[in-house]
Formats: sequence, C-alpha cells, structure tokens
Amino acid sequence: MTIKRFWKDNFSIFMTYMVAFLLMVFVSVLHPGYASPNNLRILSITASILGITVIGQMIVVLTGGMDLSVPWMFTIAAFLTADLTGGDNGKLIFAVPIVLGAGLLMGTFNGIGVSYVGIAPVIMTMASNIIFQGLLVGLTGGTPGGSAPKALKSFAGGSIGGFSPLFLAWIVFSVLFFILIAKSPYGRKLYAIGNSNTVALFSGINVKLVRVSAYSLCGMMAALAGILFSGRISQLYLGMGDPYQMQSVSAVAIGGVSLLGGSGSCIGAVGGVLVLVVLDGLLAAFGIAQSIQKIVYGVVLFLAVLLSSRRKAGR
Amino acid sequence: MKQEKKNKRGWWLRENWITLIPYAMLLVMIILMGILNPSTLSLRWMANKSDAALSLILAAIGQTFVLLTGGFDLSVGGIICVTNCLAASRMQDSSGSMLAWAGICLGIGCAIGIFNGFIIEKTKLQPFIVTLATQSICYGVALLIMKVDGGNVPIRYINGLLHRFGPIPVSMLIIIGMLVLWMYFKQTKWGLFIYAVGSNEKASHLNGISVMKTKVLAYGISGGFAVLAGLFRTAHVASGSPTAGADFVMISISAAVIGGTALTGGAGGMMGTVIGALVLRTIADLLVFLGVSSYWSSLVQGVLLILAVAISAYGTLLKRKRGAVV
Repeated sequence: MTIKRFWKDNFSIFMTYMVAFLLMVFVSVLHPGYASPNNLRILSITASILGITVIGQMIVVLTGGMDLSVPWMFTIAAFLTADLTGGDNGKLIFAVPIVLGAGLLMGTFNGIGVSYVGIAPVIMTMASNIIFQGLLVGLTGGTPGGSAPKALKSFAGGSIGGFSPLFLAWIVFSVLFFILIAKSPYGRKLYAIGNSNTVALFSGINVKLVRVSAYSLCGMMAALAGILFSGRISQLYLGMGDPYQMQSVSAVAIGGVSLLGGSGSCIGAVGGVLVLVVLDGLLAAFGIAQSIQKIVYGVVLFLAVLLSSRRKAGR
Repeated sequence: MKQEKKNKRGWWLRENWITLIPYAMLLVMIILMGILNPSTLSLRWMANKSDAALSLILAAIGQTFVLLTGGFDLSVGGIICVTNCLAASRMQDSSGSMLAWAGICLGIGCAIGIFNGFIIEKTKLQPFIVTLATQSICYGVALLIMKVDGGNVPIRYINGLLHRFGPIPVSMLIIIGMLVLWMYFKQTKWGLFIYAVGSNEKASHLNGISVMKTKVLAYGISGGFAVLAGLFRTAHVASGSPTAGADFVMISISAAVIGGTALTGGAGGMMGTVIGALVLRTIADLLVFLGVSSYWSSLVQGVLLILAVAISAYGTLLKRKRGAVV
C-alpha cells in the first residue's frame, strides 16, 4: 500500500484529528491556561465517559443502526450500582458484573426488537429509551437516590502515572474494540451487515444474531460508562445520561463513521470524541454564554461531519 | 352480486387492517375512559383535549411530510423554541403586530426547513445529523432571544386562538382544515412526488421528478408546521420558554409512526398522524383514571410505540409472504 493510497483511505480520520488538533491549538494560544495539565486531565475524564458510550454506539452504527437508548441505560446502570452496593466497597465485586449484565440485557432487548421483530432502529431505541426511563422512575417512585461506593469514587478521581484511571480505561477499551472491529471475523461481519444485509445473509452470516449482539455490546458499554460516571459525581440524578444520546451519535458521525453503516473505524470515532470534548472545553474556557455555545456546537457538528464524509459522497 | 361485494369488503379489510390500528387504539382508549369515568366524555373534554393536542398534532404533521420522503427532522424542536420565544417576547397587543410576528416566524421556520432540505440533498449527509445541527443552532438562538422562561403573551392572542364557537374550539377547526387541505394536497403533483421520492429516490429521479425540489418542499413544510405548533403552544401555555420544543422532537416522530407512517418513507399520511398524536396525548388521562402513577406514563408510551410498530411490521411481513409488493 502506497502512502498516497493510505492517505486516501484514511482521509476522514486525518480530517477529524486535524479538526480536534486545530481547535486545541486555537484555544491554547488564546487561552494559555487551557493546555495546563490540570485542565487536560479534566478534559480527558470527560472524554473517557463519552468515549466509552461512543464505542458501543459505533458498533451499532456500523451495522446501519442507531442506539438512542444510551441515556437511560446509562442512568439505570448508575442507579443500579448505587442501589446494589449501598455504598459498600466490598459489594462492588458482584455489583459490577450484575450491572453490566443488566446493560447487556437492555441492549439485547433493543437488538431483538430491531433484528427479529423488524422495527426501525431509531424507533425501537427511542421507544426503549422512554421504557427504561419509565421503569426507573416508576420503580423508584420518581425519587431514586444514593451515591456510588467510595472505591469507585477514588478510582474515578485517582491517578495512575499522571493519567486518570478513567482515561486509561477508555484507552484500553478502545484498543480492545479496535482489535475486535478491525481485525476479528466478528468485526468483518459487522461491516458486511452494514454494507448490505442481503449480501451478508447470502454469505452465510447469521445476520440477525450478529445484529442483536451489536446492540447488546452497546448496552453493556453504556452501562459501563454509567458505572464509571457514578464515581465522578457526588449525588446521582435523573437525566444524567441525557447529553450522551445526541453526543454519542454526533461523535460517531464526526469521526467519519457513516450513519448508513458499513464504513468507519474505531480510531475515527475516538477522534470524533476528541473534537466534541475539546469544543465543549473551549466554550467553557472562554465563558461563552450557553446560547452561543449551542450555535457554535451546531455549526461545528455540521462542518466536521461535512469534512469527514466528503470523500464518501464524492465517490 | 351480494357475495361479490362482501368478498370485496373482506379483501379491503385484509389488505388495510394495518392502517386501522391507530384508530382502534384511540377507540379502545376512549371506550375504556368512558367506562371508567363516564362524565369525562363530554364535548368540553373533547374541546380541551383538542386544545392540548394541537401543538403536537401540528408538529407531527410537519414531521410526517419529511418522514414520507424517507427523511428525518430533528430541527422541529428548535424551530418551536425560536417561535415560542419570539412570540412570547415580541408580540404587542395589536392585530398588526400579532400577524406580523406570526408571519416573521413562519418565514424563519420555512427558511430553516428549506435550508435543511437543500443541505441534505446537496451534500447527501444523513438527515439525522444535518437536522441535529440546525436543532442545536435553533436552541442557541432561542436562548439568545429569551434567557429564562416567561414573556408576555397578549391576552387577545390567547383568547383568539383558544376561542370556542359554542362547543367547537378553534383548534378543532384547524385540525379539520388541515385534513381537508391534506386531501387536496395528496391529489396534487407535489403530493405524489413526496410519496414517490420516499418510495424510491432513484426511480423518481429517473422519472423526471426533481428530488431536490421535493425534499426542499417537504422540509420547508415541516419547518412551517413547526412554527404553527410553536405559535399555538404560545397561546395555550401563555408563556415562552427557550426549551419548550425539546419535548416535541421525539414525540412528534412517535405520533407519526404510531399513525402508520413508515420511517423508510413512502407510506403513511396525515390522518394517521393526527390519530397517533391524539393517542399519545390521551394516554396520560387514561392512566390517571386507571389509578396508575404518572411515573409510569413514559413506559406505557414506549410500549405502545413498540406495539404499534411491531404490529405493522408483522402485517407487512404477512403481505410480503402472500406475494404482494410492499
């Protein structure tokens, strides 16, 4: 493979990182405190939580779907962790697998609806999102409470070699899923389904099962992000997952992953997360009003997606 | 002869029972409510219900046009916010000012919609992302216009839109008017084009339909209806809020989908959407009468949505098995 070919193939990924880098440089010049270790640390933590939900979202998007139920799977996971442990560190050992299992189950519910019943992904996950919301709010009578055990908090607030453990966890999961998606037969199947359902079916892929597994994985990642996020905040609240619905989809799209499915990569998605997080930090650093923030966010989202998907449209 | 007619009717039912689902849902809900609490089913209740549901109905109607072309419009929520804020903060208590601001809002909404349609068709980006971006921009603009909830809505504006002709509210007349317009629009060239583009974009293009114009029209109409929804919400709630529209995004899509409009485009219509919106707006009342805590209402909404879509997916499957081209 020549360098030219490599450049051409990965144009959208380069573009994404370029946008993130330029944004970063731009702010650092205008606002010297921005690139300080402390601020970078905060940004990296924000990026990690979003990044972990994005990994799951990306798997679903690769199959040509979309998961809008991330926010309430996320929120349920956080509350379930607090509820199962009751603030007790020792119970974390069995609570975490249970919560991850619950996430897997919720994801599977989405997957079955999309894959076996044949409901459009957007509708299915939108509906399950409010179903999960209703479940949590209904079961707890509208006033769930609690907070995460201390061990989780010290994990989320700690430091390993200067990096936040959350950040390291994100890196580890990104690498794991990069290998899974780019190098394993399972990853190939995901791309195949996203490219053409029929062709994948005739190639002997168990299309329905693989599709369900994508949603299950997404549910599990959302639950994982929820667990980690519960360690970040002192008091859990309803609606804490809401920002992750559109942000996870935006990050995936900015990262050059086609929402039609079948193209994109994990590295691109990570770049998309960086763009969003740097942008978020930028607006906060300058103390820009929320109104302008939202306008800038919309414009950057549009331009970034336009840049990263230009090649595909041109082909 | 008689037998033949009977067979024909049976055939119609067999082919079209899917489209009857939303009507059946609404009917069952109303009957249940009638049994549980007979006094509710009065003309007054219906008038109140139609006032309460009209904003959603209008937003969902706009959404239907876009869904029919196989698109997706998230900017509906943003446009409602902008309209709501503008109307609540700028309108003066004179007919001229009210009409002028309504006109300005309508212009803005249609312009945003047209922009959406143009960009989506021009860049071939996913409607989801493009309208998400415009939605975010609109939310920002709404916050620029009004920082916090409040505003001052002229009394005459409120009274005008919530006026009752005897037992018939203005909102009900608007709904009927929209349906009549829809009957007409469906017969026109552009009505056909919207369905055609949604069914098969490539084939429509090859048959000389301008996909660009059709999409711009659909998104423009959606923007316009979002403005109407925002204007009516302003009168109904009698205040403005920069976050008013956020609730309308997903529920407008739900209403259209429950009403039988397919996300893949090319199937469905306004009649079903109106019924779907009414179903969604009646659930809360029904739950109250059933003695269920309102905390569960979002769960019930979700289940209803899945049920409605699952049944229609099942129906399509049955049709396909019989060899029909769907």
